[in-house]
Amino acid sequence: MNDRPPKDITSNCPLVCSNISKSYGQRTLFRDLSLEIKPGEAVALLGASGSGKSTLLHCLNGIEPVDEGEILLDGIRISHMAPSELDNQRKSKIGTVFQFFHLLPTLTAFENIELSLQLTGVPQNQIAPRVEHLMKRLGIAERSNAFPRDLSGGEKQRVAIARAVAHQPKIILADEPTGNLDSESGKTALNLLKAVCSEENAALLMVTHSEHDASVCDRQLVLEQEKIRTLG
Amino acid sequence: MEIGKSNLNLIAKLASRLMLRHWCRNWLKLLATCLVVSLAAGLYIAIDIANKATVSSFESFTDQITGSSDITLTSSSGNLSLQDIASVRKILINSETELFPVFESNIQVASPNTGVEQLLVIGLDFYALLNHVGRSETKEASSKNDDLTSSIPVFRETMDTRNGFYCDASTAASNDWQIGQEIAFIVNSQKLDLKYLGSFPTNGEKDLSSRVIVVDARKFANILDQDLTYDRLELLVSDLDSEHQILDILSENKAKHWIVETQRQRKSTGESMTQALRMNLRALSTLSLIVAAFLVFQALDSSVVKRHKEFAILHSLGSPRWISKLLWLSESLLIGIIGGGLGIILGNLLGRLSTGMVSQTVDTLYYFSNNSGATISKSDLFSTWGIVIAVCSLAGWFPAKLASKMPPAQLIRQDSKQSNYKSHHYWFIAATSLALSIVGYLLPPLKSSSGHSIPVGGYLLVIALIGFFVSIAVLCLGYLGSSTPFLSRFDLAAKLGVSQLRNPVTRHRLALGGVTVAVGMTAAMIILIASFEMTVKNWIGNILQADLYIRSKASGSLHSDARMSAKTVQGILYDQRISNSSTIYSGRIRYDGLYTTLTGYDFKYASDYNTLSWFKAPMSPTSLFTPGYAVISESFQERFSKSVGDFVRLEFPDQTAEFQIIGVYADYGNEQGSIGISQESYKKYTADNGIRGLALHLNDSSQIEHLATELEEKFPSLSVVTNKWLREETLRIFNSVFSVTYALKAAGLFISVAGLGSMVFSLLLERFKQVGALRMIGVSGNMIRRAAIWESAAIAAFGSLAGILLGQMLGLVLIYIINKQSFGWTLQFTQPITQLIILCAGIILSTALVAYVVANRILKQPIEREE
Repeated sequence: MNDRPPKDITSNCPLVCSNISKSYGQRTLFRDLSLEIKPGEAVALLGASGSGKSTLLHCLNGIEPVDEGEILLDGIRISHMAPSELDNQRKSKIGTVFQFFHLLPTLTAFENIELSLQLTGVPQNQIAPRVEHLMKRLGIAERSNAFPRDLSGGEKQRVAIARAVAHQPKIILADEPTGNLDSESGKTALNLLKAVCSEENAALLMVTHSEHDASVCDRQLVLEQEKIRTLG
Repeated sequence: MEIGKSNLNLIAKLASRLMLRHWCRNWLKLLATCLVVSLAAGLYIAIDIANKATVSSFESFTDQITGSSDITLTSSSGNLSLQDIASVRKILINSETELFPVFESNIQVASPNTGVEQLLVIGLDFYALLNHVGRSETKEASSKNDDLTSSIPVFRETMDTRNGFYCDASTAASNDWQIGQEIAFIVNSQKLDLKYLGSFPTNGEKDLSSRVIVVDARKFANILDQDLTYDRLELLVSDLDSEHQILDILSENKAKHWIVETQRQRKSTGESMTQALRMNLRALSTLSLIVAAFLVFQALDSSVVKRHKEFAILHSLGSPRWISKLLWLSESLLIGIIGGGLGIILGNLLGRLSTGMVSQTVDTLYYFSNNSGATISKSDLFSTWGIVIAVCSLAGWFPAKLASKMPPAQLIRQDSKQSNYKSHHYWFIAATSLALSIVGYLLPPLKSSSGHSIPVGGYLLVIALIGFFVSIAVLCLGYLGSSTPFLSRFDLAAKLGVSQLRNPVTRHRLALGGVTVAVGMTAAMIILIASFEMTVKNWIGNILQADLYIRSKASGSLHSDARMSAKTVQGILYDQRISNSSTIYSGRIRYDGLYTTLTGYDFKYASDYNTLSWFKAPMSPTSLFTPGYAVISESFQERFSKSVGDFVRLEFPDQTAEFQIIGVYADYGNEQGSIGISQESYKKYTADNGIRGLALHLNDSSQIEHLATELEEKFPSLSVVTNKWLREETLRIFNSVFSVTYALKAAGLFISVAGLGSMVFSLLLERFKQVGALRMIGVSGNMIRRAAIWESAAIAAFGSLAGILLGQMLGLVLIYIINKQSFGWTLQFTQPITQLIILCAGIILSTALVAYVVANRILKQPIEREE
């Protein structure tokens, strides 16, 4: 198809961004920022409040446009892509985990996980086994019919992780996934997230405030003064 | 609770920082809420204006000339003769009073320039009027008569013109009449030329109504070659004592057929004539206000829920609860003040429109009305504004009370979508409504002074049924969400949208209630109108069996008194192509002090062609021809509680006659009822030989059109119409009668769709973060739009279903209880399935469209960040 974005065959990385910049009015969040995440790699992104971590995550997700530079998702240029095509790329190649879970309150745990598979058009007969497998793997199989209001914070985040990985995306973008959990639940959730990403061969980019959480990842980056630098 | 200076400062700060800033940020929502309130208030005011216009048409003509006339004397049957007028003069010879004999009739402009074809002709005794002016001048009467005396010289100079007439300047201008010009008119079956003499002098308080011309009664009767009779005699007295004195004298000396009324009584008679119509309009306009209150409640409740945390934080910091309650109430007040104010402007604009439509209805049903009374006093405007503000405050009070009662910790923790829904509240409302509906069903109607029944039980039943159906619909709403797994097989957007109904919030319930009520009321009106239409169609199919119908061109509405002379009718019947014919005689009479119609039937024709639809047929058809027997219409039966076997005593100018009722027939053209007697009896008692209508049967049906054209050419003052045309015309009039209800239906539907739109907007705003999250996991904007459409369309569909069921019940109540008791007509229940389907489809599609637009707007906003 002629209108399909060209695949950059020189890169096998799920996410590559080169020289991206983003400003809000006079305030520049990042400038000429470049980043490459390899398949299965877990990367932590640290930074002070207001440094632009979440905005960077939104830009990588395609929700917010960058002012300059290019973003390649699984080798496909998504910066300046048409919204409908961006939706297709996002729902098939990205999984997202939020600090506040953002489960749909009117769907059961099972239905919330099922949603991302339905969005990518997975045949109905393959959905249930996949969801059941993930729920079992994440220890929430018994909570299948529970609505989010009946789940604990840790359980909600496990459902959110299952939803993020269910459709086997190339990369998981996690925005402070432990930020709304107690330390024990946070630790469990993080370990599960890391393990599941590894099993599914999905890369992980996790925004966090916690150096401890960041230490679990393969690489730690810090966003400060409009640039990214590698820790250690 | 003590409002000290510090508290006042706190309130001012909180008001400016919390309320004003909130509304400045959400100005569109504030504007939408205010517009909905203003629409409801506008509709309420518009109906009020239209109602006032209807009643004002009954004000006596002499009010416009002499100020207010005080006493009116009429005849219970037919007109007042010159002998009657002379008798009154004789009786009151020593009293301080002035007498103004008046007749009223319809007249048609032979070649009108504008759409104004029918006019009202008022005949006066110009000398009596001149005497009155003379007395006013002598007494140097109050300034209100200055205009009258200043314009009188022109009147004095021209009043002796034999064929002259006066009218107001606007009527002359609209018809392009010049002073001195001869204008061709048709009155009864005669064509005549009258000379326009100028504007008629009035007392300066009011102009002469448009669509009215004034002539000298004596000269006018002379031109028409008719005996001079008057419709009424108006008496002007100097003070209240004189009025009492004259009333006493008249009651001691009056003839049996005279009816003496004060101006107040006459006005109330006029009001009572349209009571049923006005009551129904008022009920509908009040309903629109209730629906608006629903919407205001919805808007304020959403505002309260959305800002629970804000106020919980304030409470935690020690701010008194009454302050937050006060702030909520001031929000409602603000909406009421702005919405009510806009409503007044809108109401005045809508008033002109609705007055036109109500006038059309009234013209068709009763008499020629005019729009000059289409104004509303300042006190009425302010009281309506007050009602709107009170309704808004009440709508804001409930959520404010709930918010102020809730512990701050719970408020902070509470998810904004959770509500205080308690199913047992709705079970209670449903059970109470059911009990009330039984009471309403059993409650007998109240009888008004006009003889009309006020179906209080029927209205109670309507309210109770609405309460019952809305409660049951709300209780069932949760089950609608259960269809999510089923629907998700077909469309993922359906899963996202309909799943929201698994745990419905207050806004869902309110929107559902609004749709149920709006669809229910509209469906009931559709059923009523369709049933009426079907019944009337069948009825006219029965009564209209002749090939041609002839009447005077000047006859228009029900109470038009235009007649044809016997000579004219003989001229028509001379034609050999006519195989059979029938005449009809009728006139307005008073029975039990109330207006009704006396009809002289050609019972032989009625029996041969079976043109009377009987509810209770006479035991023997031959008894119809027996003097002393009468038949009555169903409305007469209901209005005067008379039935077969009872007697009716009628006062005629020369004698009193008593008739025994032997049958009851259907007459859907007259809600005031009618008594039918043989034509011989009619002519004998009333001395009225004028023929109202003539029906002709032809030997050869191919000659119908040809003969109609021939007769119209030969008798230009007559209207000759075919059976087909008359049937179509009857249905056209029928549609005119219901024209006002179409506007009300449209307003009701607009409000319900606006309510649903407001619901979708508020819900999507509340779920803004959720929408953002969905976008981040790859849900497309298109799917979010479709989900919003599914959610609102599901409520619209469910509400429509509940509304249709409610409409069926309300239709039964309207047809068998309210209509039967108000108008006395038995209607055949008809199910207009196509129209009901179109109604539901219209609601669902409009809602889907509104949801699409709202979702689109929400999606254009940038995704909220959690930093």
